[in-house]
Amino acid sequence: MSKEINNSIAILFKSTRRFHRLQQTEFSAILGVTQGTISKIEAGSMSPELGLWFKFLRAFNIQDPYCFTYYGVEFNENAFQVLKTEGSSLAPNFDFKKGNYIFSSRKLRPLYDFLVKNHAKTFETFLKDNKIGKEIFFILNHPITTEFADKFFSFLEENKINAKSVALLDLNFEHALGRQMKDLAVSADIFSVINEDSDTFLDYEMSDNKGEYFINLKKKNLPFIRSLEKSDLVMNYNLLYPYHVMKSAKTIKGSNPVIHEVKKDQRWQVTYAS
Amino acid sequence: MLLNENQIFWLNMERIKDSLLFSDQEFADSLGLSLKEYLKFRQAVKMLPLNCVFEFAEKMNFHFEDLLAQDFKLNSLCIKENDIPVPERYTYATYSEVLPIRNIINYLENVRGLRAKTNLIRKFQLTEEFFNRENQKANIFLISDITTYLKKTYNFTDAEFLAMGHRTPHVVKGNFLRDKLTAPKSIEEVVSCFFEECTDLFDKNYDYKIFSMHNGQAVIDATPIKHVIEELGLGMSEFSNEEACLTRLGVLSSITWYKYGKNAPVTKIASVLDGDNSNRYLFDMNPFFKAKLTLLSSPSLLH
Repeated sequence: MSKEINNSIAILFKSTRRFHRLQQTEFSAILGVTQGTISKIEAGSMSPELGLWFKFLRAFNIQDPYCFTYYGVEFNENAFQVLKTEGSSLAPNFDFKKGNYIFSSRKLRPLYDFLVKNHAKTFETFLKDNKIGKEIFFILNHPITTEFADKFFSFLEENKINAKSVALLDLNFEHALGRQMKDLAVSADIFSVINEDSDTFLDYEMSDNKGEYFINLKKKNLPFIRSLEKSDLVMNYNLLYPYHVMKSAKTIKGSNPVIHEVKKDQRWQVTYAS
Repeated sequence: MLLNENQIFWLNMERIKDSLLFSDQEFADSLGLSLKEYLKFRQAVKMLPLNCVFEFAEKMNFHFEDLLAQDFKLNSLCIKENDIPVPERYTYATYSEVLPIRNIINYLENVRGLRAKTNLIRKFQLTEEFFNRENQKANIFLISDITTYLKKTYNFTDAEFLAMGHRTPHVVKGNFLRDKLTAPKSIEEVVSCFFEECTDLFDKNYDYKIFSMHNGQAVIDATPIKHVIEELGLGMSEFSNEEACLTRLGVLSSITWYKYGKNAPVTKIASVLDGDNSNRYLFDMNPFFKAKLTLLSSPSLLH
């Protein structure tokens, strides 16, 4: 377990440092340690002392002291103001200044984990070609633009994951949903957890009937959806998000979920075997 | 003397080692360190690595960040009747049902999310099983400590503590309370039924009595039970706290929800926290007479 904790802390330190555009020397100065200490921590060969961990949390306004248990970090919202003026250091080829954010990294994290596990080489090439730092997927509330989403989901399509087959994926939400994932015992909990994410552009609605739930799109988000090239795949993934979470939490068995559009561009129903 | 964080950390670690009756070697083993490493950190008064501290805290079921709290105390006593570990502070004079606490946790989860609920349970070194077990008991300290924690951590307002109590009809399991409180024919009977037959269900720390009932108002006395105070080793004014009292007020207000679909206006007019002998509540039954008054003033009935 210690090795896993060290590996997690390593990526979280690096993600935070890179997001803030800091060299190791600058980062270590902020935390009051040597550059050598930071280097060892980022290599996963050393665990920070408890005091250093708390200094890190405080200095970078990180919300959850247990974030290393799920390989994900969340910054205070103010940290992302810089995107509008300077863009993202973790995805410099993408325009974050326009503010056309569709959801946060958390939504993509299960797909990132899936790609790392099943398509490691091609995914690494994709990230390199598009100058995307993998650290963006470890900052769970990092905004994602429609352009970025299009690029990411295009890569999925190139690897034969399309609007239909996205339902069949076996996804793991342990990193996306953090410590909550271990406690998700009933479907009601899952909906309250998903809707708690303030970045969501959809509102997920649990039904009193088993085997179904509903999704509503907030009107203000319609232009974002319409601007997507890969809107079918993006929407299907997002509509099936609770289904995937329930499947991952084993509160339902995997089945063939079906999406019905109840009201055009506004309301959908997903049905599945309960 | 003001201690820095490193000193507080080691003070707490020593307290834990002492409460577990561990030698240095045994303690080092439990931390996953060699004796040499453990002593090196201790002598230098440097905090231990995060991975050691975290794994140890998980084993002992407490929040690792509490090691930097000056008043931290490890509680590791198990209740004799079952294997759910419960901190010693909550194991004696256990005359409370956990129902009011379930209300609180349910409310917390709804407004602050699952993580907040999980954090609270971990903070008090308890488990989900403790709150879900039928007929589980706790003492009055648990509700007081939890409400104090919520005020301090989330700045919960008076209205929120009241709202927690209001959650009773939505949280209580089974139909006993629903059946009991929908059967009576009038609001007076609902009030009488609850305070004479039902208070025992959730609270054996107080003796509830209807002091008076007229002009649409019921005055209820809730007197702390003497042997409970003695067992807890408290003075009267230390029995409970303001926030727990508000939650209790919310519970009392919610008794009319079953029959009338709305909560009753209830105010506290005397408090043991202010030195009175009992808590006294004014229960306004008038809103529940309105339907009857409307009927009597109907034109068709007047002529």
